[in-house]
Amino acid sequence: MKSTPLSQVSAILFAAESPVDLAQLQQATDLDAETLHTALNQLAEYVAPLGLELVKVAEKWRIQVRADHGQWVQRAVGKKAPRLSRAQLETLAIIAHKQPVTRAEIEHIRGVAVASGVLQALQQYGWVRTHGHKAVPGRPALWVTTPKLLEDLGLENRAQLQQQLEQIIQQAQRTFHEEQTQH
Amino acid sequence: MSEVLARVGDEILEAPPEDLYIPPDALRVMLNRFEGPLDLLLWLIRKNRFDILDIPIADIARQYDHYIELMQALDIELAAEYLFMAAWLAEIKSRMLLPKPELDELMPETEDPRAELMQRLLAYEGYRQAAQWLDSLNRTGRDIWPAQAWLDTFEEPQPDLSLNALLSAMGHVALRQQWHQAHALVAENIDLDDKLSLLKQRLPLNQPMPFEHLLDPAEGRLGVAVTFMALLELARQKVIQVVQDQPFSPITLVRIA
Repeated sequence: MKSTPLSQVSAILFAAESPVDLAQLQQATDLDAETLHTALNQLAEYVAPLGLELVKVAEKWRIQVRADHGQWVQRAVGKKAPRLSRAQLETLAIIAHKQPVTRAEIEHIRGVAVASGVLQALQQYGWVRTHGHKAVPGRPALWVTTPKLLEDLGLENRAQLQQQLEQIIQQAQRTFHEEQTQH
Repeated sequence: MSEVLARVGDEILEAPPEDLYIPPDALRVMLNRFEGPLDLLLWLIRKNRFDILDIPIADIARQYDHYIELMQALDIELAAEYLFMAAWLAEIKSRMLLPKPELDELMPETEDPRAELMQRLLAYEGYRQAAQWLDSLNRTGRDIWPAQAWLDTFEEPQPDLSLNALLSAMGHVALRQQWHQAHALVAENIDLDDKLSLLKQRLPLNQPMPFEHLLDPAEGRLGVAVTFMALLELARQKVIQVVQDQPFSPITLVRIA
């Protein structure tokens, strides 16, 4: 069988263990960006009838099960990933929005000490990591989110995540005030 | 978005009815789910439909203290932050009771004692909702399933192996085993200390002597090596002087001490 830009891009994306960006595709195939984009568009059409879709996350491409077919996979796999606790979710939201941020700053916002298990779990999922230290006495570690968080949540880039969070926070604060004063 | 306390049939309760008796265990569960004093305060503000920008501090402080007492009565482990908040609320309350200074043009407007609390509550409310949004997103491994094709050729190609080759290799190993011998350690039979004192005896003061004259042919290579080491040691101790005109020429020793 002959190899085409479509077959090459398809093979790479199916075999890759994590999303693949344009530079990687170019390096592997020696094809120019325009040819690759055409191949990617074709691939998106080809996989749709197979219950799959081509998506762009964190500036990279990934083939995944179509959202409306997740239920079948779910039934076949049987178990669901655990839900995150409120402490984990709130801590993650704070790191994602305010990064880089120290543990003390997270604690100040939440009004309670951060249990060490919370950051540990988030780190284990590969969603947050420490990146440098804040130049204050004690040199506390600074926490940031990882590209894996964006991949796992299907977000395009960090700026998009921070923008979305900013909107939600603003909205929440506004409605909290309005909702209370209506009565 | 309002907090749901309980669901009774189709009715959603946001606060326990005043006259309802709640079994202590159920109450414990309810009180345990607060994520901290800010969370508890936000819940109280919602429940009472207070205005976040104009919190009736006396009311909220009284209710807060009531819940703290309840939690203590139920032996719920109270984080220190809950007590700190109670103290903060009391402080704000007392500052609100102080008569406001007369405002005049020269005096900067005094800040509302509730301002910082209000800001922290609003900030926390923002992140509370942001956390719910994060939770609502589709997540890989829970809602998103990456598609993968199996790639065989990633594995190293396997070399051929025949039974004959295996047997012949085994034969070689067995053969080599016979030659195998443990390395035997032989005690050094020429002692450096002996050699040192011998050299000192045989070297008269200030009379040059060729190195070869000090060697005993019967001692072989080891004798040469030990004698040379002794020579170096005596030179280090500045007992002898070693003279060699050029590389590889005869070595002459002179005892100087």
